Amino acid sequence: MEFFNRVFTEDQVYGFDLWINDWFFVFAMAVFVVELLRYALLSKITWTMLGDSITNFITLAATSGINALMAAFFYVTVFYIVYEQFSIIQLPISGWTIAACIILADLAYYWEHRFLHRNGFAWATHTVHHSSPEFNISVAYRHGPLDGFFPLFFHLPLAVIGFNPLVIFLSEVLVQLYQTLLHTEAVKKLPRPIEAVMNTPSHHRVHHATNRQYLDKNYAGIFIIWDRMFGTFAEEKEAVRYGVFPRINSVNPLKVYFHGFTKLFRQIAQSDSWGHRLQLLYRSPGWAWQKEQEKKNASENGDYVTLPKELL
Amino acid sequence: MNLPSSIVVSGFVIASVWFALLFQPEAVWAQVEATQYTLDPQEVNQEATSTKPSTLPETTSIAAAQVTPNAGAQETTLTLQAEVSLPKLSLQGVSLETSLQPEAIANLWLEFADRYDLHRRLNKSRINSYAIYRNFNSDFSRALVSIGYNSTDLDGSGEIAIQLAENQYTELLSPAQHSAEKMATAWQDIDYTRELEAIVEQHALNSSGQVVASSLYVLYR
Repeated sequence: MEFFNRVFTEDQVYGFDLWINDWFFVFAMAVFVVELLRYALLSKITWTMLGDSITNFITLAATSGINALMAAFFYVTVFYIVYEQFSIIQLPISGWTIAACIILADLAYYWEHRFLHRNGFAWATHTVHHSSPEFNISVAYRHGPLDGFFPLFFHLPLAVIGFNPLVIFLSEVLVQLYQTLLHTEAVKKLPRPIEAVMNTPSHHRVHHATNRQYLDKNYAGIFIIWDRMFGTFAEEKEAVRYGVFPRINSVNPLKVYFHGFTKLFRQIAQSDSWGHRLQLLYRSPGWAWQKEQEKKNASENGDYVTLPKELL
Repeated sequence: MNLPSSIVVSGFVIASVWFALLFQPEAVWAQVEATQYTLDPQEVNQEATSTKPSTLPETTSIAAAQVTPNAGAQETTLTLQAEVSLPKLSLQGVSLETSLQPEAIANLWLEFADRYDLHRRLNKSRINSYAIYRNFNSDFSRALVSIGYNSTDLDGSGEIAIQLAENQYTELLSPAQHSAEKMATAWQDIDYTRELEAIVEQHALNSSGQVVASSLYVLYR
């Protein structure tokens, strides 16, 4: 209770943000080493896996640089302008406020994540994270070029309703860091009450799967309850196959980092109408894939697979 | 649940959590109200500055000036110093006979910052913290330093660290955001040829406990 009633300064919140960011990375790297040893013991370690992991950290460095530029030029400023000029109230920075912000930031993340999967332009960046055929801690650090851009739109409303920007940034970080540890095959299932409420490695493996029944499921950050409430939950039952369609089969950092946008721009260039080009930007990747199949069918008069309506 | 229903439910969750936050303890809210009060131009002589106030008052570094009597400065500042009335001050907080070195003063501020029992008892919309310097030694290197809140701003009763009757003080710095250098310079404007009763720093705090305005007063015997 002492923590919840305590009032924090901006400096304290910012200091904690920096501290947890730095030390969590050290901790995650230690976990990654343990994971590699586990794979070695199971004779599952391969040069491709190591190459894939190195590529993951290269994408991390690139995205961190882009994020730093965005933060310097507009990201932080926008939050402060909205908080100072357009917020309906300014909430005190108490333990209660921080706890509530984490919950709402997690809900905001759910919607952002769902958007990243359901919007063609957003998927072009987020597909990088999903393109690895592996599933270990290093995959959590595999980011696309604009991964740091989309959170702006989904977390800005928190500033409007009075959360201090630094509290929002801290909450964003905590939601991200929680998920980092979910990228592992070492943990099978956790006790049922935890699996019922929290996002777990099992739930997140489903999210990274290409198995048909797992597609576009389990968007949650910390709490899986959002998926259960909104009908996007799937239980891990059969073995998961990781990656994206089509497979990129490469550990080349440039190819991995830009393949989403390369594919999107190629689709746009090959479109036969401006209406279709526009739809490629805002409709789902499933819709784009379906249209490609229809086009192929029309030219070859062959069969094609139809995706379920909820994936279009 | 379909998409529109999911969005509506999300809105309901956000509204519920937000409304719950409005019922936080009064002491927590008092600090937000203090920001609105102290930033009122009628109340505070806002010196436009983009400098972010530090968590602890920059006046913790005033001792860096080492309180050296500066007769030359007296002549120029005498005409600028106004007489202001401060109410009776009964501070609850921390008190220590200590060196005026910056580290010693900063440590005392940190000790005060850890007094959550006091922070929780704040009852007013206007929050000021005070630092009162008394009983200086002959070379002004040590003093009895008390840091705290005025009892009238606190619920309940507690140990009084120091008490000063209502008095006419000489204002050295009017309420505004001041740099450490400016605070130090203001200490040099004290007339050390006269007997000092007390030096009072007043710090208006915002909702985050940061200093948004500081002022400095001296009480001569």
